[in-house]
Amino acid sequence: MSWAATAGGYLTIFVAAVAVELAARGTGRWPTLGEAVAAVNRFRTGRAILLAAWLWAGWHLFVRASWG
Amino acid sequence: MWAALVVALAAWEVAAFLQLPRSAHPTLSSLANLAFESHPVRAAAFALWMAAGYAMARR
Repeated sequence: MSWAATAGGYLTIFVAAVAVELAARGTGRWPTLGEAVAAVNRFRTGRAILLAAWLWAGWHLFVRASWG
Repeated sequence: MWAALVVALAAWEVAAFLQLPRSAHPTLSSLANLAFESHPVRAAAFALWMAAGYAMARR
């Protein structure tokens, strides 16, 4: 796989997510992203997983540490 | 449907992480590093992350 193929894979998943969101808002057959997050948020374990994922994303993307 | 997308994203990320070289198989964080080289983009992404946290906390 090349860089373009790998990045294209991410782009495909992102486009699919946008398509699902638009279809959910249009047809109502599927939950929107907000509704899905709310459904996970109803359970204590789900809230903990969402919080951990949010913290991980923030740490992973925004913390700049120099290890050397 | 959303679970399938999350699983697909995680699987693609792991596949990219396990392959070398990183320059040919970028992970999300390496792609983000490219975008975050400019401070305005980084600041906007941070604000978006904070807004997502606030939205989850309000539910």
